[in-house]
Amino acid sequence: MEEKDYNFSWDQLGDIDEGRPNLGSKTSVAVYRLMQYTMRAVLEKEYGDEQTRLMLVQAGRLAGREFCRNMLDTSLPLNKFIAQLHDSLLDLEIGVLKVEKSDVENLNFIVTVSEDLDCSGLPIKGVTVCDYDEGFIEGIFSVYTGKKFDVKEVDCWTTGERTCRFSINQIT
Amino acid sequence: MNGNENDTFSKLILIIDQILSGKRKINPDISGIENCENEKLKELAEKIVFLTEQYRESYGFILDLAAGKLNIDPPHINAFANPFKQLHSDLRHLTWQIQEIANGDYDQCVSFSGDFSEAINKMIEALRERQVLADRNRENEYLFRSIFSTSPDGIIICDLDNHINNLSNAARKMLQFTEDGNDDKIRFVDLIIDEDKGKGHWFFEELHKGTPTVFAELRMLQKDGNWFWSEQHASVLFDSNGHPKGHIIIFRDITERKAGEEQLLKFASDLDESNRTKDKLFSVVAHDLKNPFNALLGFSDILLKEASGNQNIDKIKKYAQILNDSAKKEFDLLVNLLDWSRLQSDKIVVSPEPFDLNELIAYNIGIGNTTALTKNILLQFANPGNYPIITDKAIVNTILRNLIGNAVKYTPDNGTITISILPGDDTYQISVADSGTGITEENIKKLFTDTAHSTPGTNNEKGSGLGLVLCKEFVNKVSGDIWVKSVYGQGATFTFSLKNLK
Repeated sequence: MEEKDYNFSWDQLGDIDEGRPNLGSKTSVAVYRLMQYTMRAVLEKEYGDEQTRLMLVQAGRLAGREFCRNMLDTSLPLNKFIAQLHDSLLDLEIGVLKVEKSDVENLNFIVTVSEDLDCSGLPIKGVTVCDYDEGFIEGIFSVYTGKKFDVKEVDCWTTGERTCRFSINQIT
Repeated sequence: MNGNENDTFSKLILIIDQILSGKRKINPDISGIENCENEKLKELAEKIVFLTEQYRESYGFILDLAAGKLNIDPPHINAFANPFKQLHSDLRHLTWQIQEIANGDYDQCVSFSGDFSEAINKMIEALRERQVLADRNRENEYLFRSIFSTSPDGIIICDLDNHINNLSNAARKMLQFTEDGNDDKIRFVDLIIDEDKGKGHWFFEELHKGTPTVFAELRMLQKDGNWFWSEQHASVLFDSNGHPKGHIIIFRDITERKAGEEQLLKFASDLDESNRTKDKLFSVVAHDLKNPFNALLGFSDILLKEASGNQNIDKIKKYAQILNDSAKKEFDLLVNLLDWSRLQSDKIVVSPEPFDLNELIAYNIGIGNTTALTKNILLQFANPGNYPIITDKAIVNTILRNLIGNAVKYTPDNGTITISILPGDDTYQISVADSGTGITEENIKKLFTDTAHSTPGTNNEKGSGLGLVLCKEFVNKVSGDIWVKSVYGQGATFTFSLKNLK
């Protein structure tokens, strides 16, 4: 995927410590979901389901790239990088990352994210909803490796699973 | 309920019974359902068939899971299988973790997988610690090997019986050992020369007593039989349980340093000698050389007055004689001083020439007689003859002059001085025997070495203590020797040997 020139920079997140000296940097999952799903609802209404899904993937990709550039050490070897990513996602309470399979040579992976911030506990809809997560993971892996990836959510809480499963494959 | 409905219910009950019995392969038979007019019953039948499919799919998945087949695709959207998919996911993750650990990756950890994660994470932590220790050991080993192979100092590792187990490159080079290691089986003490072996044994005894590091300077043997000086530091090596397992000896070649130290000691000794020489020179110049001038100046003043006054010729002769004696003594002393100072600065070069000792002895008797006669001493040559020799004539002359001068000095009036010569095989021994005061045993020891030693003559003649020291050094210069025999009160015999310097 081409990296479009979005009007975003990491400093737009502001100085949270200065701005929230008492409340701190964390908020509730419900508030996060309130923002995401109201926005999703508006976008679906305005642009349709598929277009909304694509926009969420793109937003997630942008977030993943910036997150990787600003929060992760990309000089680490792959195994250490994955360990770092696991710790980061856990520390930020985004989810519990677990690698099920890895083909390091071809850069193909299957990972799960349990207790996912976006979906765990949502009503079962029969379709996956972690579009933002797909883009987020893709953004991280593409910045770290410099390669292009196709990330698909195979299982999701909203399809009745207990954990979200993503397949990550390098586009050759 | 019509017959068709009744038949459909029977088929559905059969399917449910099969499910309840745990049968794996169920073939849901709902044939004829299309003829059923009850829509609710048709919907129920279709859902029971779908349920049967999900049951069958999840049953197979669980069986595969139970068989440990993790590399399978789990059923997609299957409520029965969902909890097992979670288990499948965790097992796949744990398997991946273990594979990563097997590949040496201890950076991962397992989160929120209950007892599994606790056990795996403990194992990862233990392996990580072991890895750190292994890395440290490897680094230490590499460091040790680097030091062992590149250190300019020799390193030897022995067992407790001091059999050599390992030699560094520098040690091999210094000891001239071969690279094949066949030389390594010898004991360390065998590398020490016999004279230093005692020190070598002490070296290890000290280590066994518990001294942490022992230092010694030992001479070590090389393969070609030569030896070199070495400075050695040894320590005990311990095994992982803290028990002594051997010794490590680090040594360096200090042969050049030792030679330098010896040279330095010689320099210091020479400097000390030179200093004493200088002191003696000053002492002689200040005292012995000055005194005769007092006589010279005093009597020359009197002589001047007498000569210009009453012209008493006897008195003038007497004073002139005293002046002449003083001048001679002054001259003799000056000659000795000059010879001695030239000796000290190594400026005297031995110049052998052929001459007859008989003539030289006769000449010196003539010189000596000028003083001997004033004391009525008989100065005689016992066995004149032909005594040809090739040696430094000037040196022999100085020796004779001093020995005869001393004999006259320490022989009382009316005494006898006898000079004799004993020819040998290409050698001569010349003796000067006097009937003088003799020398005590204590003074004999100091005669030829101590320039400070001087006793007054029988007529209270003063000496510098320089003469015999000069004789000793001169006679050594011409490869001879000098000695004295004396009984205190019964005279003394000084003898020196000469050899032909062809």
